[in-house]
Amino acid sequence: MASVLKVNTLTGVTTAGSIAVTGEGNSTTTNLQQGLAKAWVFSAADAALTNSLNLASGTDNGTGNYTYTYTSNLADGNCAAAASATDNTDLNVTVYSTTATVFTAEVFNQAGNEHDSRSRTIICGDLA
Amino acid sequence: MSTLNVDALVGVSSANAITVRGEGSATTSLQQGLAKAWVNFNGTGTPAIQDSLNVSGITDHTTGDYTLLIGNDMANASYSYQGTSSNWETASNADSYIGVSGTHGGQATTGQRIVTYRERYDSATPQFKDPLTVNLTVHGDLA
Repeated sequence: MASVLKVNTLTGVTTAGSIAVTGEGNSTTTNLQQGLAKAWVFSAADAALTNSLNLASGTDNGTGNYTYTYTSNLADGNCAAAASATDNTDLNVTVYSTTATVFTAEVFNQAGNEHDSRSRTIICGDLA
Repeated sequence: MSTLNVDALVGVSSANAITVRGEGSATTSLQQGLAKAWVNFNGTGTPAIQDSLNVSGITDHTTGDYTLLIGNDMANASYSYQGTSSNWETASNADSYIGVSGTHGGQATTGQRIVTYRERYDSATPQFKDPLTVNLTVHGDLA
């Protein structure tokens, strides 16, 4: 019989921000908090947040250059970011600046020119 | 040390909302932070899924043109996805890479159409290619 836990909030006992979860192989464990994405976004070409987690706003800095501000800040700028563009087949995205409060992404084409585009980004790291 | 043995987690106030204390003092959402789908597939020939979560298949449209088919649908098409791919060349080549891009209008609750293209910064124009490995992750709201 499956065991179902109904709960609103999960908090570690020994360390509030650290809960271990047994992995798929039934032997090693992984960390629940560290495995969760701390922010993600589907952004419009003007930086509007179409859908997102933990982001308060997006700012259009100019052609192809966007800054996104967290709702709950990260502990520092040492996060992992991955991003993709949507509206063309030769666009790349680089997240070139990350701090505890914001990250900045640039969309560019193969000629190296900045380009306005919808984009998607995920942030993994430590919450403040 | 406190250990909880459980098979499933369900929110009490809202079945789909569980708060998790983060690494510091802030909190985050368990459901929103989880990847809803991911896949590693071989894009050469008939696409072959190596490992995946909540992926029902890969449609091969033509060279460098695929659709990721999501098993349990997303609630809307405004989810976030990211993709990477292995290099096209079999040996290291500092001037050639494979890019992954979503196609305009190719996003649906049931899946995401993508293209994989070879970027030659030293010379050639982009070429659609079937890479050895394509990786995709999806974050957003399940239906």
